[in-house]
Amino acid sequence: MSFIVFSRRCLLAVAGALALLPTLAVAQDGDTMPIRVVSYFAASTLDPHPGGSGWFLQSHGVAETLFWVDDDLTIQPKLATGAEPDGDAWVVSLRPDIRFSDGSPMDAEAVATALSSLNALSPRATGSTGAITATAIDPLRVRIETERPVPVMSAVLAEFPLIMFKPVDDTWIYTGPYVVAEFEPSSRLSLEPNPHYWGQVPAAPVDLRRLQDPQSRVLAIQAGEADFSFNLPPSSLERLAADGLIARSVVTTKTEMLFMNLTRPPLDDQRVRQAIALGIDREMLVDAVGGGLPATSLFHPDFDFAPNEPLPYDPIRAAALLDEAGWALGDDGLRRRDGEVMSLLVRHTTRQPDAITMAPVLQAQLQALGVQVEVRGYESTQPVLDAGEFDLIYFNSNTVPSGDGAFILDQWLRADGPRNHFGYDSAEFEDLMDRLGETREPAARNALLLDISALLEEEVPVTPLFAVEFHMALTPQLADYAAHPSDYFIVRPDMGLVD
Amino acid sequence: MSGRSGGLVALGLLLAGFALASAWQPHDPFAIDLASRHAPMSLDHPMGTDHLGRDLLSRIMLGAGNTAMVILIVATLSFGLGSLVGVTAGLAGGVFGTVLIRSAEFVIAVPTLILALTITTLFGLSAVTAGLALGLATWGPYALLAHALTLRTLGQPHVLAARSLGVGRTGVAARHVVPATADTLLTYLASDAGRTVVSYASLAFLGLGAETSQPDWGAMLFEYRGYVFDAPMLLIWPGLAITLTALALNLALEPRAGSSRFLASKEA
Repeated sequence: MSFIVFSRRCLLAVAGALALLPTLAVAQDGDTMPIRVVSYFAASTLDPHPGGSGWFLQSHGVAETLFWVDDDLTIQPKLATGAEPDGDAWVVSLRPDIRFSDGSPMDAEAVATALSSLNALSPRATGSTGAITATAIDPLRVRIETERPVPVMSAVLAEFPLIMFKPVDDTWIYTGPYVVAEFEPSSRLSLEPNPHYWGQVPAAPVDLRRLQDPQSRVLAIQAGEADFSFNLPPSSLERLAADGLIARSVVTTKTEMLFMNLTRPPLDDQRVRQAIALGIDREMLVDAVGGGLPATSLFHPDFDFAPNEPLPYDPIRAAALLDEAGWALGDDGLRRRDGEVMSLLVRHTTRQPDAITMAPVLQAQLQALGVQVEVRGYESTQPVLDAGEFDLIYFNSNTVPSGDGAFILDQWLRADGPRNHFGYDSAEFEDLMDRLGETREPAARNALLLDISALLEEEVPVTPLFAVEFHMALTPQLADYAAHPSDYFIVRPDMGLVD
Repeated sequence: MSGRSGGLVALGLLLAGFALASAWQPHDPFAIDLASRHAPMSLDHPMGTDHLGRDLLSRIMLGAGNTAMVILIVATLSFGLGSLVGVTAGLAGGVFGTVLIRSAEFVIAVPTLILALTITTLFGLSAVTAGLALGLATWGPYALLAHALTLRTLGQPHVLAARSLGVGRTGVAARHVVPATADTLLTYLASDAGRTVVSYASLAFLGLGAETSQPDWGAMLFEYRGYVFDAPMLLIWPGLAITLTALALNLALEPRAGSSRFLASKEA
């Protein structure tokens, strides 16, 4: 028996030594071990032009925009130093010390070239402005003219599609703290520190992998195969913390929203829409999904232009509104008008666990009002929106991607907005948006945005539900990691292994 | 009681039990109580509660009713349509018979789940549409089996004698073909019920077009999959329901040595 025990120990010792060999080899080479990150997305291309490319590359720490929304949700200069109006155009001043990852300077000519290229090839980049014409005034100043008037150019230039890049041969290089060393589309990126980075050069390389399944991301960090795992189910946090990992949560600028189809009954009646909004207990939704903040408006409550008070939950007032609209409550608990049962089709994605968790809660809350509710999942949002096959549809989106509230309103709720699939066409809303488009002074813009939030609460083309919370886990070596309240900056230059 | 009769009685009892289970549950299967989520097994909640505090036993019981309905629809459709096509093809013969059999072979060639998924994605997933989809996707083997049995029966001396005495096709079909094929087809039908349970659970798990808040067993596996490590019982209960139902159907309905079906198949 002692021989057997001895043999087992020997085997374990040999196995352990073999397992350490790669580490020793790295140490001998003087390389730094990479920080292993697992996330729910990875860039599908290094080309800056496709729709979501700017988001991915910025989030991976590869690309940067001229301005950005900092951790306190304030628009700040990044590659630029400021933007000043010049008639209907804007003059943007650049930092003098910015270099691309090949060491070449990011001057005004390079910025103008990048913006012109995005203008020509990326429809999403010009969503807020229409056509962009950029010309270099001198090496550090660019004049930008836009097809539509832009009241806050710094917010537009903080939008993720407008990342700065330089085409080199058949690829593109960027200014971010990391350089892509190896790339497997939609799967893995090996990132090396950019030695020409204008800020603090990262201390360690990063190995980023995409694991789409949330449980796989939990297992990866639990098994020691990752140092940082992003977007985890809240139910896993306690277990991960018990394993000695740092569990962290951050309320983001993503808002879960319930859009309404105004093109058909019963939601073509404003009183019914108001009743739906009043009948939703947002605290309960937040409790059910395990995190978030009940919505005060479409915007994260910390923005200056967001109302402070959570949207009201008042089922009694909701019932009165439905009565007023002619939907009488029957003995069977269902509301009818002219013999027709009030019935709503609610749609949601099946790709996000939170959306599935919310479905029965939302269903129960609407049923409590006397509404017959069918809840049906879908794989992809756009076809459902295009076909208009919904009465209510909920999903989340970053409503303030550039630090200014106009973006989502322009996109989703303007009568001619590219994403207005809901039939919302309000003269009062259009008037307020026109005024917002002409207003540059921040306090006046905030006041207008508050007015717009109040109007939306009254007309209810959409009712915000809650600000989405992201959950993550880190090894103790990454204890200093500061999470941005979004998924736009996951890999950060100051992310380093501490002793 | 013959093996076939015993099997069908067992199937009937199971379906009746499922129907009863879906008609009454100890708690409202949809009642959300966040204060008592993930409650352990107790007298009040014999299977515990889920992440929204809903009673798991009640949800499993309601899901049983949907499963029973799907088995019934699939059995009726695949058995009825398959038998009709197979017997007709055997009796008619010629080009018409060949076309019918080729159509059955086409249905067999298309993977069942893919065809059923296409149908439920287009028309939404409920117990009825899933039953129709699976029935339409699985009648092919019944048709081929009925066709082969029909041809074999038509070649029997007593059938040839009957035809030579002037008994028409309808008479031959009614007096000789249907009785001769029914036994074997019912045996196949019985053995198919377990597969139907798993196929329906797969459709509900994939969830295309499904009403996601309905407590189908497969949909419950989908809904609870995020809790596989933190609350594994949420997945174990519906998983057990699917496995045990499929197993019970196969064991109760499989041909036994000594049964008329078993002997008939041996003689054949």
